[in-house]
This record gives sequence, structure tokens and C-alpha cells, in this order.
Amino acid sequence: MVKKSVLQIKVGREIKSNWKQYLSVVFIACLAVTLFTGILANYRNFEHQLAEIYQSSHMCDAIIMTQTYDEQIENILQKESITYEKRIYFPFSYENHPVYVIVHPDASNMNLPYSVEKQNNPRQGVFVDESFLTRNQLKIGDVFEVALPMGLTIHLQITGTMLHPESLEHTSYTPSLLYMNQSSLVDAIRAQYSFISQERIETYLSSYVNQYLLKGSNISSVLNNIKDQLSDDNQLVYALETKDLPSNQAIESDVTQAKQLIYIFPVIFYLVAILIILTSISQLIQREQKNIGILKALGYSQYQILSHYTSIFLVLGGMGSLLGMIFGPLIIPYVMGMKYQMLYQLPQIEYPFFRIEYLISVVVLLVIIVITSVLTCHSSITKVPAISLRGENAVHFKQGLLSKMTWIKRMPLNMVMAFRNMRRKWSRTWMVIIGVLGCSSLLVCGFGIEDTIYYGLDLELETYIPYDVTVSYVDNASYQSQILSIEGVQFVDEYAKHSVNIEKDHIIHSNLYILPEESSVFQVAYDDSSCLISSKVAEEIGCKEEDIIRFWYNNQVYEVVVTKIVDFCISQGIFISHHYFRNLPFLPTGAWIQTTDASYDEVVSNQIAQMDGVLSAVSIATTREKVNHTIGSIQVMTLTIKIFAILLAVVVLYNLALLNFKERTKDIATLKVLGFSRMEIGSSFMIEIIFLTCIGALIGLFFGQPLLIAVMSINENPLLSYIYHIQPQSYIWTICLTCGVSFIINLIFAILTHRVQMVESLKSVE
Amino acid sequence: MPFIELKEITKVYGQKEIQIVALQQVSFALEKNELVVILGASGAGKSTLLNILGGMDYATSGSYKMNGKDITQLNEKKLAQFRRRQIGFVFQFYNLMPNLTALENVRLSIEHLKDVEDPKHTLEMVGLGHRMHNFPSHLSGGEQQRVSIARAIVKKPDLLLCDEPTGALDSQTGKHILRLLKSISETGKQCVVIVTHNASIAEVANRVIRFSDGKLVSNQINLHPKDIEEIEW
Repeated sequence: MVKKSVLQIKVGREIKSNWKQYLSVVFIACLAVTLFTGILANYRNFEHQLAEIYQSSHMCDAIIMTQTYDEQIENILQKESITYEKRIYFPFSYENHPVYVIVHPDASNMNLPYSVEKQNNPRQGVFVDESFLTRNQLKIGDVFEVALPMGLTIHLQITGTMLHPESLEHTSYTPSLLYMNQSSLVDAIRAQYSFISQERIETYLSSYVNQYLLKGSNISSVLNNIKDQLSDDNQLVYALETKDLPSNQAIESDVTQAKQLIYIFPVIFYLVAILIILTSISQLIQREQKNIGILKALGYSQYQILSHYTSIFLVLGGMGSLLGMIFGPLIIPYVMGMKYQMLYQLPQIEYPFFRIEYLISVVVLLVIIVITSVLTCHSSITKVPAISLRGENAVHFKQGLLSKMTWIKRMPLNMVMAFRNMRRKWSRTWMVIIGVLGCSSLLVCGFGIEDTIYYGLDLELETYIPYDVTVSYVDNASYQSQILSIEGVQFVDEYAKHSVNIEKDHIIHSNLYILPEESSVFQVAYDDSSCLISSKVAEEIGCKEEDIIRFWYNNQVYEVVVTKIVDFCISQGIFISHHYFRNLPFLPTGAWIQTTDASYDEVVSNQIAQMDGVLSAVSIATTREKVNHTIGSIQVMTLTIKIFAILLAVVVLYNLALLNFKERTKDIATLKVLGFSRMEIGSSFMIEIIFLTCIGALIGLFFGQPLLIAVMSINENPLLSYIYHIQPQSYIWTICLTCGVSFIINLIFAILTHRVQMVESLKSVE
Repeated sequence: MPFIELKEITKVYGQKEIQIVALQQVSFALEKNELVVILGASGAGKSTLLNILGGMDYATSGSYKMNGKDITQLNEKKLAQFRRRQIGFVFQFYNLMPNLTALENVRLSIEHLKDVEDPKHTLEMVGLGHRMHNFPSHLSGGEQQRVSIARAIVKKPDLLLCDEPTGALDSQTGKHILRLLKSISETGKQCVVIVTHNASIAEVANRVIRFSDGKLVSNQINLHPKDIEEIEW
């Protein structure tokens, strides 16, 4: 058995005798590494899932979309030696819900479905996503009708279901995708129109090719080349790399956000870890000043002494970070995964439990510990033994400006002691302020996330479109007069909603709301010749008020002036009066209804739902319930932030209260001898830490909003737009929680003062 | 009725298996205006006795009365009040609050008390009128001990307990402190008890109590106490 050195034994005994003090070091190391490894694991897992999808589906590197077939593009691609595939891509509406149809060549080798379920194992056919079947109450083998862009109506039989890399979002929020090979389409057309020959159909279809899937190197320069050459005509709809495709933008941005998240919370916790370790080391070195002198007198080198004290924190930091390395990848990806599963259709993949980055994060923390230890210990260790042997440095006070003020002299002595202590232990004072500041800003951020979401919802549902019932129609006909005849209905605004591409500086896929020429429910003023735009869409395409934007609707490109950017939370897109499209008939897809009284909401929605031609009628209460479900994952994240914030406060305040308690044991004993009561002694503690907590918490309030914006901006949800807003009560809660935690911790220590033995504490200076 | 009366005081530390008897059946009585010196080697039990006298520790058995009031029956809260009002402590290592000035340290012991001395006057009395706004770190050992004495006497305690008050001081400063303590006892209102292992201090006391291995071995009245200047340190 290897015999331990005396210093190693001393390390063990030091940790054992002061384990309560060192617990906070273990805890903060664990928290910091948990957050880092957890967020990193979440990013890596999510990225891996997406990469797996792209790989198994042979996802292309870019897609070019045009209005109609363009030979020029093919020439450029051939000239650049780019591998490409052509296909037809068109939208149609089934049961009043948009569906995108992809018609791919029979021998397609790009953008394939990655998870297919089918009957009789046919190699080709018509595949749809699962929610298309669910929504329309269809099953595999059923036949449904599709209107083709060439004016033909055909019947298609569903071969199977699939997950497709261009339809990763759950289709309850986005259009469904129908994926079929050209032969199946030709067969379906011939079955309906047998008089048309196969060759003629194929020739006809080739003229409708409007998408080119590209694979190869140097794709961005090829895309730029194509954009330059086709900029003068109106043919090009978009030429985008995979990550920028409207269908993939949301998930790609979520992956980027997951990556960016690595740099926010872990940095805060690593900084706090440094602060806690710094304070604990300072306290230890101060306490061990005399022992350092003894070790030096015994001939130990500076390096040996430094290693001895550093090893205490390396052991503690190592323990904490190893725990963090286990907890992080288990907890955080699970919590964040709930959000991703809710938004996207992702395959279940096995993830590695260990990654080298986890070990690097542990090593980084340990290096930080070593650097902090060396810097903190350096001045004490380089003293000559004679000075070190004198023990803890005498506390030198100066008659500062504050001490000369009469009102300070009149303060109760426990307050005077508290304020002088703050000045005396300035590093600890700063640590409490910074630690509490971090906690309160995180809490404000946590509360602010919920406030922001609900503020946006309330703004839209109570101010901009204060409907009581919302209705979706099946057959694009008007039901206004029928609905108005129902008892309890006051106003009806019919509107049409279509999926369109919108462009200014960038092109995105969003909604076009065609509003009635005069509205009663929709409360934002609009005119006949321009449009309103939701702030999220405006930001994404890079437009501001008075700008002209482009959108594609009904096979035509429109240009319109933006009169107002509106902070809509749910309804995303552009809003235009039907008068703008006066040449086109108004075919409403739904309606917003106001009832005379809230008690009518459910009755009215039930009656409308029974009407022929109505797909659904939902009351405002049900809508809010659905939204609450949708933002469930955000609430999980909010709760996580709040819990971590409170944990941070507990660790920081516990560490400091314990330090304060230990440093002042002798003072406590003296006060007890002088006959002070437990509460009088406790109050001198509380004044100091609670005063500092209040300062830290108040400063933290100012950092809450920037942190909220930072967190929310990397947590953009494609379904919701965030209108940053923090309620006054959130600030009050933050102060109450932070000061409450501080009060409870200090109260516990105040109560513990009765354990201080007057006799033992007063025996000697040591 | 004596001012202080101890009857068969015993103090045992530790649990059943390992028990250390610090005081064994100790009985004596003290009067006001006495300067009492308790002598004994290290571990004799003199500090334990001081702690019991000062209400800082409970006796295992026996009774301790001051002015007829049984102190051994007081609970923790009452003991704290007892220490606050009736006891003055002077420690070997001063135990001043490092972040309070000399004046504030003296004021500390009279917060919420009535019928007390003026802290400034008390500091002047111990010869520190000119250093009252200095922090302990700016004072010498002797000066710190004088602040400690001022802190103890400012509340006009019935019993002034001094644990090795000169232990950390040189002979001249030590004599100065002793002179101060003697003058306090001579006012006739307070009993001053000094615990020490320095036998020469006993020569200036009115009463000398000797301890050995937790037992009281002698309790002598000194009819002719020496002048402080005469003793050899």
C-alpha cells in the first residue's frame, strides 16, 4: 500500500472538517459543468438528428425554384459540373389546408423520404405525412382528389406515410407534404383522362418542372451565378442553400440557437464558480497563514505549499465537475428535447453518453481552479516565514469618510459593524453583489419569458383581433349571413389565409391574410392599396414601414407597400384588404367572430361547427388552452432558468453566509459573553448580507431585460413572435425570491449562533 | 448573606465513557469590594470556574448564588440577561471587535442598558481619552486590554471577571492594568476576580483561592496586600 504524504492527509482532513464550506465549491462546479455539458449534449444530439435525416434522405445542398421550366439554369448547372435533379413542386389545398406536392423523377436519388411505412412494399407511389391522414381521417389505400396546376383534377391512392427532410415541422402548424414519383402521377392522370397519351403527358409535365435539386462543391458561387444571370426576368423564385430553405429554416435556426445557448448560461455559471472558488481560497489562505509559515519554516518549497492548497480545490472541483458531466447530458437534452419533439418530426437516435468536449469542459474548470488558486495564494506564499508565522494579518481600519459622518456614528452598532465589514471584506462584498445580480437577472429573465409570451398573446387576442370564436371553412364559400343569424353573434369578419413566399431582403415562407374591405373584429386600421405586416415576418425579410415587399399568390408576383408593422404574436404574415385583389373573387377560408357576451362563446362555436362547409369552430377559451399547450416547452425552460437562478442564489449566499459565520465566530462568542440575545447577534449578520442582496438584486433587475432578449432571440419559436415585456410584479417577485432566499439562509445561520461555544471560541486568538 | 456563594460546584466534561472532572465539589463565598485572585496551574480548573461564575457555562451539580439568586437555575435567555447586566469580562486576548473603534467597543456592551457610565468618561478613566476613535488594530496590547476593561466596567457590573488579564502583556503594562483593576475593586461596589497562573499577582489581592486538579486547595484572606509597585513580575 502506498503511504500517503502528511500533506495529502492534511488535504483530506481539511475537506472533512470544513465540508459545509466546501460543499458550495462542489455544487457550483457541478452546476457549471452540468449546464455546459447539458447544453452541449443537447446541441450535439439535435445536430446529429438533423445530420442523420439529411444523410439518410440524401438531402441536396441547394434548391433552385423557378416559375416554370428554365433551360438556362440547366445549361449553367451542366457547365459548372453540378449534379442535379429536376422535379415539379406545386401547392394545392385539400380540405381547406395547404398541401405541397413534390413530383420527383422515378429514379430520384435526392431528398428522399427517410422513414416510410407502406402496404405491400411498393417501390414507388404516393406518400403523405402522418398528420395529413389524421387531419383528413384518411388511411393508407384511400383515394383523394387533387387539383393539378395544369387544370386537371385527378384521384390519387395513398401508398404509405413518410417523414421527409423538407417537411420536418409538425404539419398542424405548416402545410402537409405529398411526395410522389412521376410514373404514379402519369398513371393517375391517364386513369382519369385515358384519351391523353403517356408521351404527351410526360412532355406536358416536363414543362412544369420548376425545381432543381443541387449537389456538389462550391454551391454558393453557383447559386450567385444563377441569381445574377436570372435577375432580370421574373422566372427565379429562389436559389437557396439547404439551411436557408423556407421548409428548413426553422429547424436549422433551432440548431444554431442550440449552439449559441452554449455561450450564455454556462458562461454565467463558470464566472460564478470562479467567484466562489476565489472567495473560498482567500478565506482558507487567510485562515492558514500561520500554517503556511510553519510549512515554510519546516523547509517545504513554495511549489509544494501551493500544490497542497490547490489540490484541495482540485479535488472538490473535480468531484463537482464529474457529477456535472453525468447529470448534464442526462437532464438538459431531455428538457430541451421536449420542445424539439413538439415542433419537429425527428427520428429516435442513440446518443453517446460520453463526448470528449465534456472532458474538455472539466479540464477547463480545473485549469480555472488552478489559475485562481495560484493567483490568490501567490502573495501569501511568497512571504517570508517570519511574517507568515505571525498569523492572520491584523485588520487595519482607517477612519474613512463614512466613519466621520455623524449619522453613521449614531447608527446601532450592529449596523456599523455590518457596514465596516463590507468595506473590510470588499472581495466578498463584490461576490455577494455579483452572485445575487446574476440570480436576480436570471429570475427576471425567467419571469420575463412568460410575461413576453402572454403579453404578445393578450395584445393580439384582446387588442388587435379580439375575437370570441374563430372558424375555418372547408369550401372557400361565404357563410357570413348564416353565422350572423345565430343568436349571440354580434360581428363576423371573414378572411382568406394562404401560404405564400414573401420577399424583401430575404425570402421566407409565411401567410397572406386577405381581409374584408371593412372589418369589425380586426381592430388594426388598414387601407385598400397597402399591407400590414407582422413584426416577426418584417424582421425576417428585413423590411420596415413604407418599404415595398414582394409576394407570390395565385401564380402571380405582387408588390405592395407596407404601411404598418404590427406586433402580432400568433398571426404571422402580411395582411391586405381584399380590395387590393379586386380582380379576384373573395374566397374566405375562415372568420373571426365576436359574440354579444362571453357566455355565448361555446354555444356559438358548437352551432357553427355543425354547419355544412365549416371545418372547425373554436372558442377563444379553447384557443388559449391550445396556445398554453404549445408554449408548454417554453414554460419548462422558464422553470429551469428559475430553478437554476435560485440554486445559484442558494450556493452564493450559503457560501458567503458560512464564510461570514466562520470568520466571526469569535465576535459572536464575544457578543454572547456580553449578553446579547440570539436575534441581536443574528441581526448583525443579516444586515450585512441582506443589504448586499438587495443591492445585487436591484442591479440585477436592470440586466434582466438584456438577458431576456439574448435568451429569447436564441430561442425563437417559428409559431410565435416575441414582444419583449416584463410585468412590474415580475420585478417584485424577483426581489422577494432573492431576498427571501437570503433571509432564510441567514436566519438559519442566525439561529446557529447558539451553537457557538463562548468558552471555546474565546480561549485564544487561534 | 455573602455576595457570591458557591456550594459543591462540580463540572464534568465528556460522555459516559470518557469523563473529565474539571471542578470537584468547589465551595467558597466572596464579598463585594474584594480583589480575588484565583491561582492554579494549567488544567487546574480555574477557567472553568470563571466560566461558571460568568454564566458562560453550566455547572454539572451544586449551586451558585449571587445576591441570593440561584444562577445555576437560569435558562439560556436569563443567563444572557445576567451576563449583560451583572457581569463584566476581561479576556487574556482582549476580544475586541476589530471593526469597531475603541469608543464603539465600549458602547457595544451598554446598548439597551440603563444606569451605566459614560463610555467616553470610562475610556478617559482608563487613560485612553485620546485614542477613543482608534480601531483595535491601531492600539497596543496594553491599550487594547484597557479598552477591554473599559468595556467591562462601563456597565457598572456587580462582578468583574478577568481571565489572565496580564498574560499577554509586558511587566510595566501588566502592572498598569492591575492598578486599574485594584482601583475598581476599591470603589466598594464591585467584586473583581482575576484568574491567573502568575503567583506574584496574588500578593496584591484581598483573597487568594488556589486550585489543583479541579479541587479547591486553599482559600486565604490576605490581610496585608502588597502595593502593585512592590511585586516582582
